[in-house]
Amino acid sequence: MMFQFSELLTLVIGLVMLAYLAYQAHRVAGIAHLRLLVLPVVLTAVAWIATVLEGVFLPAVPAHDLVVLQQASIVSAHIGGPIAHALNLVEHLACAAAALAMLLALVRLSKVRPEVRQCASPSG
Amino acid sequence: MCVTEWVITAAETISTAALTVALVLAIARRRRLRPLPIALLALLITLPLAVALFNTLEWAGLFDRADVAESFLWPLVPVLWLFLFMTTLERDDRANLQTSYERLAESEARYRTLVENAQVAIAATDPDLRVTFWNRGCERLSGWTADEALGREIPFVVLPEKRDALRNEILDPLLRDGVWFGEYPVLRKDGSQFTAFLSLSRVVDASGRALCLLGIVTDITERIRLREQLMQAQKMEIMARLAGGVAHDFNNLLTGILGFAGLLRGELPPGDERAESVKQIEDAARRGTELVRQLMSVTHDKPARTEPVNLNEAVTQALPLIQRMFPRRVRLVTHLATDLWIIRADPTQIQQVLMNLAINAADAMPDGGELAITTENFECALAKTGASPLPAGPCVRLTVADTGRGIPPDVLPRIFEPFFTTKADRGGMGLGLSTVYAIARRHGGCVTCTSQPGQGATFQVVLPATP
Repeated sequence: MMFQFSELLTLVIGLVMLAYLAYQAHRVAGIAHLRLLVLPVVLTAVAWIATVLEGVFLPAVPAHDLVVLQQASIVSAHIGGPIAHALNLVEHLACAAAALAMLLALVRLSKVRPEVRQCASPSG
Repeated sequence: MCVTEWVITAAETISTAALTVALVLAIARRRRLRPLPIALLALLITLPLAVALFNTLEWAGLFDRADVAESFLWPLVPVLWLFLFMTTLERDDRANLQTSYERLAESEARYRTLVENAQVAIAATDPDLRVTFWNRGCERLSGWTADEALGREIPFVVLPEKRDALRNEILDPLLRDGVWFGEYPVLRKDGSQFTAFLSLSRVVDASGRALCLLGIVTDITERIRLREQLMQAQKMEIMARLAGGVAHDFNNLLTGILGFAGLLRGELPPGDERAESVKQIEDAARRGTELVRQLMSVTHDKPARTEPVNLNEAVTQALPLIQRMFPRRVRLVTHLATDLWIIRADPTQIQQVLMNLAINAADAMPDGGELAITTENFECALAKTGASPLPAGPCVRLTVADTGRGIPPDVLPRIFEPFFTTKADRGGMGLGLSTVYAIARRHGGCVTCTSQPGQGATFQVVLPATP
């Protein structure tokens, strides 16, 4: 196995964020414009998980081969086999989908009129 | 480069393009995106954009340390998401709180408007009895404005003679039981008083501590008047039935006395001195028969015969008799409406009403005065009640007003009772006004009297007009 510290840290913080969202679900659920942001968050989380799982399937690389280690996430297809290869692909595709979802969310949010947003807010 | 790598490159390129557009959009439409913290949003877009950009540059061979940049930038992304959500929820909470305050203020204003403009009088005091709320109904009922009433102690609307007893009669039971209902005299600003129905309650907080005393005040003066009228009508009904029963039996007795007295007189020889005694018996029995006749007129349920009657004509026909009955010192005045509506009545009984009222007025003016007889059309607005059989609609009103000595307030409620008289020493039997009352009721009308001692009396007979 071969993990990058930054990937693990990202996943941990991401899980904390998701736990926070789950804890605040009753409030988030009532806010229409925040719902649009949940899709990019979920897709980004998929990317984080795929990255970490990719590390699980990557073979351990000698410490001195730093260059290979640093590039493991990108060249996994060459050294990690088909699963790591697929996970790497998922990571990049999820990132792209998250970016598109984010763009879509902003487009839709920017079209919402202020009074409509007010109506969509919880009534009490 | 294999297909997979081309896909990854394409994905990175799409990410870069999408996030670039998103960043531009977020900055350009920042006013529309005001519910979101724009700085955080922009940063959140910039970080993955930078990562995607570095990866794209690396694949293009223009940058070779994308992994290092990625290692530093990626962990910041979930942190920014977290801050974004927390800040947004915080803003939303503030907005909701503001909305709640506004709604609360709006609701409070709405209820205040409702309570302040309610027809019923509503007042509140603090536990020390200082007025804290005084609505328009209270202003209308008491004459005190809210500005005058607020801050004053509530006994200012209590009659001076009742103030000492206020605590025992109302406050102690109210504080003990939490509620108090009852009738109580209330003082107006102009010094007059009215009977109010008070519905008082003690408002307490969660710990049971009294916050305020709340009172709903209803003027029941009119209700009490109607209640007394109803009681009076019921009393009259009972007395009339009793008198009718007595009169019937008494009439049978008198028939026997007169019959046997006649037989006895026939058997006496001419010149017998006992004939005078028999005559006395017959005279007494005839007076008794007359009394019975009057009693029967009080108790009969229906008019003997009714026909269209112009009350003006009835008054005109009775005037000569009335004028002969009055001493010359009494001036007789008539105000007869020219277009008076027709009533359906027994003319003889209407004459009886006029004569009885005139006799009553004559007795009240031994030293002279003025008797005014007025007829007028009258539109009755009140619906038929137990106290008054008068239906709503067109009516004719006969008013007989004198300038005599008037009727004392303690006597006034009883003047229509059968056998109630203040002229027992002058041979009064107390059947005149009760006959008027009975006739008016029998014709579907009513009779009222208003009087002040020394200022004469005014009798009003209201009868329904024919359509």
